[in-house]
Amino acid sequence: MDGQMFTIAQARTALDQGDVSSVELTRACLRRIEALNPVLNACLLVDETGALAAAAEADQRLRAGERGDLLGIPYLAKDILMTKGLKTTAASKILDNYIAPYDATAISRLKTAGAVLLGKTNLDEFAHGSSTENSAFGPTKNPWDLSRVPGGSSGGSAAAVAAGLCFFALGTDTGGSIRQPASFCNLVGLKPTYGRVSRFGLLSMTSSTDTIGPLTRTVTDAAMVLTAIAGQDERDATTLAEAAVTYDFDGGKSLSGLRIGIVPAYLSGSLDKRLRASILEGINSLKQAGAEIVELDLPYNQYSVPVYYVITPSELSSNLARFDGIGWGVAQEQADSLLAFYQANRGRGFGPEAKRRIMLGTFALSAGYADAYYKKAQAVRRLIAADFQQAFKRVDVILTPTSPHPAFKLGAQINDPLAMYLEDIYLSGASLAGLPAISVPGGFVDEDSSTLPFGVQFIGPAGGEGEILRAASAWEKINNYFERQPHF
Amino acid sequence: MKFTTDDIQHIADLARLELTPAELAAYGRELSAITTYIDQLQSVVITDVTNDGAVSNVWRADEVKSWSEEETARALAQADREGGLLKVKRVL
Repeated sequence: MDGQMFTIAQARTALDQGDVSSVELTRACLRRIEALNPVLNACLLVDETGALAAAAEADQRLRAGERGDLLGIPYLAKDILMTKGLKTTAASKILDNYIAPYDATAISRLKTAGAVLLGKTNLDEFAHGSSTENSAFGPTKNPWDLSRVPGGSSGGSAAAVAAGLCFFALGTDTGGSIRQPASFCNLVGLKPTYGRVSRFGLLSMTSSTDTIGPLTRTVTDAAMVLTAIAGQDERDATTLAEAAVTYDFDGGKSLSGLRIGIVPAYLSGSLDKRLRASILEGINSLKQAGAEIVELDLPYNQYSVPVYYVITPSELSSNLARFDGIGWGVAQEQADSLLAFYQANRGRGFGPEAKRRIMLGTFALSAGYADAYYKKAQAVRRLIAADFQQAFKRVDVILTPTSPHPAFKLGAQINDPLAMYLEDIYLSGASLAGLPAISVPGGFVDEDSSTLPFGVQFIGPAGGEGEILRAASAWEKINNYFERQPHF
Repeated sequence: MKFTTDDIQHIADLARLELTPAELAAYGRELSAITTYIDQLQSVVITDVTNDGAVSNVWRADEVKSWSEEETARALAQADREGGLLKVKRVL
């Protein structure tokens, strides 16, 4: 795969014109994975046989005259989505030997669209984390600087797309897990409205905020993948009862009339000064391109991280209760009672962060504390959602940084869970309110002889994927940061 | 909130997690720090309106739907089986 053809849209044109076959694209990706994955640790599983068979089938469909956005396009999926006949581990020892018997809805929709599944990507165990260092199978490295994290929890997916191992990857975003790695790896990361994409076949973390979305190089590519995976599903009662949506965002051509909210408090505080300067410049160029910039206050959003770290541990402590070591995972044989057997399997099967969150959630839901923690957090969550509802009466989208800084060094925050949780400072509000949000490449800073990317985020009202795609696409056209690739 | 080792052991028992003495100590420190940070929520004033239950049950008919036999067989193939039964550890 040469550097000239690296977006889905470019591959689409080449496939449709017969300049390249899906098998050729797939072989090129497989060769690149073979060469680079030993360094990056982005992929936990590569299904060469399955991928080549799917590519051959896509080529047949193409030859028969069929067309489709993703027909014949090779991709990778985060290893927390069920993939029939393939190991699905959630990067946890407790699921080390688990083979999914069926496909997640997102995976089966991509299969129907003719996309080619190459394999599965690394993540923080059960998607708990912001660096992919919590994987039981070793951390993923950032292609922009191998001494740094790719972000997380969809870090394997982000590193894979950034290093050209695939044309797009699926990630999941519960409190920022698509957007933050997109920011650290110079990618577009789209978290859809809650309920836009079926969660059937996704190993549940926080059922009330879990979403599935794409990591791509461009906004157009993200819209193509979202269109393929979105839609109501009778197997997920929370999916939105809307007909299939096409995301006509005008290619981001015109910004006139678009009202973009900015929150002054978000552009100070812990935000890296270099990022602030660059983002302020970007806001100016949006204004010159015709957008109306409106200053906003989101007073209750300052509580989004503490609320998130009550709601999320509470829900996941319940969701992970099903993993008891019976049926799959490493069973501890020496335990002499059923209780001791469960405790041993879970105590040794889960990694440190999964156990930390299970403990925190168990506490927040326990007798005597549920009112002060869980119920209080749910009440503040509604105030956060109300903040956004008020704001979207005045603006169409809200622009924020994605992360307060570029990618940090491996190991820099792993022993400070609270510092890691604060990675979500700009991200968890949209998750708690169920809103769509997109991170788009926002610029670069030089640090320790590396060039490091960072992202900006556009948040939209519920169901407002079209608005955030439009704003992000306009930003992309002004800045073209996506064209820069890691030297790898 | 400050957690004692006994508090942490109690939570671990509720969560069915076997923890080492080192883990008990570390989680005690970390959960104390995290909940102290979370405790800022106690200062948020909640009016009756926002505390009102916005959540309701959504029901559908409980209908049996068939599942692919091939996928069922795939799921069962991973279990330890004896005859037509799944074999698990002694529970009594």
